Amino acid sequence: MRLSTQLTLLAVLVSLALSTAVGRVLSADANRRAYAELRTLERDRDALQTNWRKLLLEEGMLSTPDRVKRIANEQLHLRSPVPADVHWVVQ
Amino acid sequence: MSARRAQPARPVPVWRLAVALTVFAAAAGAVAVRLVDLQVVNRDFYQRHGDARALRTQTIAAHRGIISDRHGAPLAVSVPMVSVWAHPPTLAQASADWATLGASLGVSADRLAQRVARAADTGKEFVYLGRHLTPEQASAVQALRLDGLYETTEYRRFYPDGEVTGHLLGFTNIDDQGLEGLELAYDGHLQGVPGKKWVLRSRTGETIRELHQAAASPGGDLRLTLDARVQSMAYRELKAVVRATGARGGSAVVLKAGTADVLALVNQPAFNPNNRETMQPQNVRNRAVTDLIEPGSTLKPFSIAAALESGAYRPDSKVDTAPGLIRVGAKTFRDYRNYQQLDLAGILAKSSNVGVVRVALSLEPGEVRSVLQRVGFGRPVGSGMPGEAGGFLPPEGTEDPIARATMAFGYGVSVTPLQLALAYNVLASEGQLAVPRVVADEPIIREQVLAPEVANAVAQMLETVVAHGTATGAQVPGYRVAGKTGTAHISGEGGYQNSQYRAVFAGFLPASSPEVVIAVVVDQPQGERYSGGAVAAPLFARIAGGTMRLLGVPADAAPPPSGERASLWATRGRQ
Repeated sequence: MRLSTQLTLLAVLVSLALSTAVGRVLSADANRRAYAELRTLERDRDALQTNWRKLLLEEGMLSTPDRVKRIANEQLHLRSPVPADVHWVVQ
Repeated sequence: MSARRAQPARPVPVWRLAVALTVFAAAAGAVAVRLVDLQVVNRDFYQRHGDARALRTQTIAAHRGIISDRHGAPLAVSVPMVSVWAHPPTLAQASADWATLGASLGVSADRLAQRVARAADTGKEFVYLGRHLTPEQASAVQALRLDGLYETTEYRRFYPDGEVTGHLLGFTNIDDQGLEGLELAYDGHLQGVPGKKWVLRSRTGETIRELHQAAASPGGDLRLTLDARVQSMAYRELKAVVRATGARGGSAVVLKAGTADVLALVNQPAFNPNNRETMQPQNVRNRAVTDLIEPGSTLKPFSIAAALESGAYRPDSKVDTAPGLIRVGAKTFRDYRNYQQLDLAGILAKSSNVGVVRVALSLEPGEVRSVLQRVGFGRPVGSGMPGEAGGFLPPEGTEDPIARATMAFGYGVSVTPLQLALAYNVLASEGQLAVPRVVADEPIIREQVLAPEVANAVAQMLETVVAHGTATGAQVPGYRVAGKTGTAHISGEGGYQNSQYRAVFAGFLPASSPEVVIAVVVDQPQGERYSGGAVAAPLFARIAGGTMRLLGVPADAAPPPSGERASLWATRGRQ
């Protein structure tokens, strides 16, 4: 092998080694960034889930049949029909 | 020449060489020993310390599943709350301002200081200072920024319907594990398994890399067959009656006819599952499935079913009940008055003890018992609810006429209100016994236990009981109702208590095509009106009427003759 060929090969190998080293650093950084983003998204998801449960519970509390009946009776003055209120259609 | 150069100027003494060698060997040996010590002997220790600085285990929280009713309305929901814990030695040294901390946690300063000091003395590494804090409390504690004080997320379970669903759902302990009711029965399904992940943290405490993860599996949701609106209505009506009559307690069970889906299951007295402090153990009992009652006359229809099944009787067979009493061995059973000749429907309508005893004793000894056993009495019904009682039937092969006679009208037998409802479901659904369903995706299990003709004939007789028998109080305008009252003496120490009764009613409607089966029990109503007809039947009517309205079941009875005939009122509820 001639000297110039050997030198070229060496240069290529050195540049390859350097570029993979840099690539390794970059990918580690990208990985770290991506992981941080994943964590943020997970936190968001958990917060949303928690919020959804709280809202579900709140809706449940507000719509319990007991409460609905109380409001219907006391604020809207509604009442359940007694037999005398019932009108019949006979076909 | 070369020999001269090689000749040393002065000879080196051997001992100096030996000393130098020894010193170097000793040094090398010391390094080797230290290396082994670090790398082999104490490896774990240093590994641990290294990891402790960089590695962290984080828990991934898992929710407990939501329990909802058949339409998806939430009945039990777990919500994350903040709990505060301390590392006692650190906190004790931090010379914390106990008064401020105590105020934000809602504990007195002295108690708090004592607790931390005691925990520090006994070498504890962990002590809870406050659990399930409100967001305001949590941020107040956070603002103190104390060393040795940490926060953690825990779940607290809330029950929007409170005492209305208390017995059925049960409740969880502070660690969100099921303790009672369905929370206990389906704990394995509802409970989430928290996951874990091992992460690498930087010097600043930031998570850099996830090394390994054991995924969390959140608890499964549970959809019940319950209808929250029917449940709430039934609870309200039961509570009103128990209060008005001064009764000791009561239960009501509403089943969907046929499939035996539990639409409502309520008890009195009740408790609020959201407030553990006010809970009293005796109120926590789910009476409808755990308490045994003597069903009294509500069992008579099954004796009549046995008579029809034997082939010796037809619905219009006449039985002579004169003179209004019958002597069996040393016992005398009486009717309210002398009803003379009654057909089978008449026996039920008048609730004639004499008639039923006469019929039962004329059958083969095991026939009544066989029917009672087939419709589900004397063994657990498989509802899956904790503490379910199986009840008692006299042993097979009982020939003693007194035992057979008392069994025929519901004494010497014990059943739960749920069993009673299930047995009436057999009559309502052409002789099929169903396993009760509380959870919606459980399979429907049914078994033919009575001939359809027999079940239908008895159902028809039960209609006359409500139309013009002892149970006219159970009438629901617009609907044909079938049912039977019962009034049982309560047995206590020294036999039956004369003045203590239990009012029972079981029935179903609309009789033309049954939609729901209802059993109600009122325990020891006080005052003049204590009978099944006076207390339990009207309660049944109110719950039945409300259920028809909520479920939007079309009326099946001929309209009342005096009623105006203008508009159809039957509203369609959500299905």
